[in-house]
Amino acid sequence: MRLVTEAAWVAGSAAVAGLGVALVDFGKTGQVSGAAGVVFLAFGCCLAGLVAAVRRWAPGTSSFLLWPTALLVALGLVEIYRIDPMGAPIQMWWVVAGVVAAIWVLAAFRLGVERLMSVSYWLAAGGLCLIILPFLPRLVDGNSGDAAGLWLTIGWGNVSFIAQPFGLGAVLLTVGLAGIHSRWALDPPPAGAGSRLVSLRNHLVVAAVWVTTLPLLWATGDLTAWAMLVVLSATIAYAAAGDTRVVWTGLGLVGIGSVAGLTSSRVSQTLDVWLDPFSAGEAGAGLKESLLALGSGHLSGSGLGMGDPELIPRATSDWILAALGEELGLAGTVAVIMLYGLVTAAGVGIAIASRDLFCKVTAASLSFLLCLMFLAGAGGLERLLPPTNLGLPLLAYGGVPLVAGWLAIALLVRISHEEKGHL
Amino acid sequence: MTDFVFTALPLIFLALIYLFVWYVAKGIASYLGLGDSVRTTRLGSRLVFVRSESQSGMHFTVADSVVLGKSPDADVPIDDPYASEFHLRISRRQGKLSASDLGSDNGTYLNGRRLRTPVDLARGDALQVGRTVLEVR
Repeated sequence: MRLVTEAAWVAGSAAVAGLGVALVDFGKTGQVSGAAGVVFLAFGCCLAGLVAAVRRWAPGTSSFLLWPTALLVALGLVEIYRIDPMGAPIQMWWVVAGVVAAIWVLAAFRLGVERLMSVSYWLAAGGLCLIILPFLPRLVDGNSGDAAGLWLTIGWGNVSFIAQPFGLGAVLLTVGLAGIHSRWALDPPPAGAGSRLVSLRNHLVVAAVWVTTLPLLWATGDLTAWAMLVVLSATIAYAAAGDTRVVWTGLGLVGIGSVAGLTSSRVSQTLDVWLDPFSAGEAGAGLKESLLALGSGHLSGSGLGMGDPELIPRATSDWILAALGEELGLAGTVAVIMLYGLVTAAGVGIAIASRDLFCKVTAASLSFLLCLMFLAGAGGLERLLPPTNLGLPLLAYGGVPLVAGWLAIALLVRISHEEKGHL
Repeated sequence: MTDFVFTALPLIFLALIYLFVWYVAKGIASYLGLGDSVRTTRLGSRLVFVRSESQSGMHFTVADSVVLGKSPDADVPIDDPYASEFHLRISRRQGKLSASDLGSDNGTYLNGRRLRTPVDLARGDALQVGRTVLEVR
């Protein structure tokens, strides 16, 4: 892509962020503060740095992946500024951290992402640990006070902050599983091994993910996030081996786990909230307010800064799409859905164009991950699925999920570069 | 006037987002080759060695029928100790490529599944012979 065109994309993305912040100020006070200019400059500098890194280490990439990503991050930043002006600078710093992480990925894997294959078992194990270990104490404590879904409160003395390690764990697990299945698909099966035995190990991986993540279900009651992990592991196995049976196995295991999960009070509470949020009391407040916010948004919304998103609990993280839906309406919500669709389409396109099996499976798996996380989060807040505390990737408030999202995008960019020119 | 500004600005913001989405969608569609005819996109005409000890990047076009194997007498020799002398046949019928295993010892895998019967190939399919992987382009 020509430098002028890229500069126009950078300026356009930063302009959306700056204009959004200006509209928020204008909607709230009738005046525009200097924050709009600061956001425009800071976001523009971040994107310019990323584009420079892409030109340096992945010049052959399809940069179309970057722009829907940048716009999602910009919209998230605007809505966070709208709901929590004090939290917006922190989120801006996390955007900087995410871009730095993406640049690090491009630089570290400039010789190829195949190096990840050699540590695939470690990545998968590390991902699983990040997903389940932080929540295990809740199983011991019972209904402890700060058991807020997938969020963790980490503190030292008087200082504490909340984090959601789930997103980073999911990215590591995805890359690890992609590596494991690719190795198995490329290595010839052991002599004498029947095709059933070869297929069995793919099913065993899905079952292993199912078993090891069950404590997450019991500890958090987040049925949607847990089911997403099992479906993700099955789709990765399918992407590598092309075996449709493994997808059915994954769906069957989700069904069994869901029924077994009814023995947990947290899962039962999640289902109660899902079935009737308006009579679920405090537990259903998020979903109830989310539905009311989406309903009051109508076609074009109330306008940035002119809605009541502060009525939604944790509106910047878990329910940010509802807040956007209220202020930008159905048109804005559809635009966000289209942006996630474009990110997924670009990722799948990179996977289709890839020659190397590991690159192909990794690109497809990361695209599935982003798509599934979006479907889980959006489905939860629209009551299509049981409500989840899984924030929308790249859009919602939270440092770790945002950095994890940028890491996934950087890997896709790198893979796109490696496979460019071989179509 | 103020009412007009309050109404117009959110719509302008939405229009800007949709303009952005439209240009990105056009670019991605172009990248994915969605403008090409479906037939050209879905049907492949050549095979590329995408993973091989010594043949990576080599490719060949199937006009009628070719036999691949370890034997020097095969139409397309494969440099792979796990391949059989005459491992598989790729033929073209009514414009479509199809692959059939010739009773090889270690089998032929199409997208990870072992070939039992002749199977039609599509663009993007991966054929594995021993450690060698070929892709239909």
